[in-house]
Amino acid sequence: MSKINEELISAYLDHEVSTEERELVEAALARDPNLQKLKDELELLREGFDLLPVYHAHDLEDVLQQAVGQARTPQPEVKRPAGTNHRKIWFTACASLAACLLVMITLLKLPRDTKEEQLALAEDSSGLSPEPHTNFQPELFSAESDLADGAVEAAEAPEGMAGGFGGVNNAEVLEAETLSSALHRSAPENSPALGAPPRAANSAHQRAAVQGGLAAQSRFNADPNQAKLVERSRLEADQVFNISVSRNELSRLFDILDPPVVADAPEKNSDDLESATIQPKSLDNVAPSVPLQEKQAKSRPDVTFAVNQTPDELVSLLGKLQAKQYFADNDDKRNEYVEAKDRYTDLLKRKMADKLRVLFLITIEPAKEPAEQQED
Amino acid sequence: MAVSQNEQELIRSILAGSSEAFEQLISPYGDRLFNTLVHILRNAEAAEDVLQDALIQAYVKLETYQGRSSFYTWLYRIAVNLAFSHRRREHPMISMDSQKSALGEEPVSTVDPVDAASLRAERAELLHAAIGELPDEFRAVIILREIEGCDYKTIGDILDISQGTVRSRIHRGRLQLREKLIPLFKLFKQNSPMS
Repeated sequence: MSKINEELISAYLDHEVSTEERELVEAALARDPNLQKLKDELELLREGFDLLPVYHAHDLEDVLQQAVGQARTPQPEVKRPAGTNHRKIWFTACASLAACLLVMITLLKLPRDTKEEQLALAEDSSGLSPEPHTNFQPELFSAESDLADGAVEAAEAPEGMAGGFGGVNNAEVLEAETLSSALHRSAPENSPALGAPPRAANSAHQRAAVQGGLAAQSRFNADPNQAKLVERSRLEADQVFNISVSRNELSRLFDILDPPVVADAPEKNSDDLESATIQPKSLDNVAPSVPLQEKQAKSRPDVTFAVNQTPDELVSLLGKLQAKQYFADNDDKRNEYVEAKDRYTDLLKRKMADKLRVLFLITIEPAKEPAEQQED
Repeated sequence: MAVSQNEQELIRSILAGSSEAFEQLISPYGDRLFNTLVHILRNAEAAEDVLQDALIQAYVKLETYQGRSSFYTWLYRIAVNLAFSHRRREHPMISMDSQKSALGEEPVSTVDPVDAASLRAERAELLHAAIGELPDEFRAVIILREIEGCDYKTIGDILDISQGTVRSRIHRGRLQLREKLIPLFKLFKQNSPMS
């Protein structure tokens, strides 16, 4: 017996068959007792439906009047499938957030002069890049004079220079990259991140690279046109951190920011790097027009260090900096960095990129006691 | 089934703002629709909620009714869809006894199974429970066919399925009910004093 024949039995009972189908079913029922049995059982089943109670709505007129009343209100209450409102709300929230972010970015960029920025960029590309080459020839390098220039010519810090979790200055990113490229040209085996050369590269050439980079940075800072670039670069970085270190700690800081690829005689290398970067007497020789404390308060960073990090890498890096007390030494701040991992992750998702652009604005503290520095 | 002339006039009046016309249009179907919804939802309170929602939707969307199917079919389509949406969210399981009490009907007595009326009531209870256990697609066609008395074409219009699918689902739904109930029904029939 085919399945089709069985369906015809139900249709036959419901009088939903054609004339031909009815003849087929009746013929099959006559010859097949199983089919007849099926028909009888289905009929018995259908009899049960006649026994089902019939339910009547109470006050149907009230139900109708209430329905009309609700339908006529400005926002009738209509039940929707679960999830629809949530999807609409979620989409609306995301769209609103995206719109707000666009407005914020636009407003932050509005006061800038496009032409001036382009000029500054042009100057940057034409002026800064060649200079590190010159300074990176050890025989031409003059650490004292360059560092002195950098200390004297530190420009006023732009307003809104954020500390910790803040905005980013385009020019600082640009100068960081320029400094990085300068270091790379002097030490090609270095990691892509800006920073001190690896410990293994303990040579006058490497020392010169760092000092030359610092010098280039200083000259960059001195140019007022670059200030606008620095401001703009802030907008491009995802996170900005301010660090203030003494010259003694600068190399150790770079060891954290840009860990050495090959560990080789760390003590010796670090000492060499420290001696290469410490020029306290050059600062003492400076005769700033602005009082030193005021200069420090308003000065722009001496070194900008840009690095691309995943959220995990960034939290790990911040933890190391925290451990070395480069940040505020308190539990709240430490927890803030760790708890920010979720925020970094969300930020990365919005960027649709693999890593966050992180900027470290490093200010070199002047030496307070020449005696201590001489001992180092 | 085409829209009757009377219904056409009522619909025009409703669209012109007449609430009385809406009551007249709905009245022939309201009680029947409620009964169908109770069997689908197995919950009178939920059936009232769904009925009201269906009437609201029918009133709000009446201007979209194009008359290609009968108003009855159009209204039932709205109501059945809402009922199954509600069922998927709520899944109420209430016995017929409690429903009868809620509706003012006397509960079924199961003390004397030999009594014919008791046997019929017992069969009805078992059938009601078995219908509730059917998959939604089978339950809908069974209720519309057996309780509402719709033909296959109307069922297909309400549920937006072909008549062939209606035929198939009705038969498969009946086979499931048969498997659960026929042994008991035969037993009741044997024990019935009127058998």
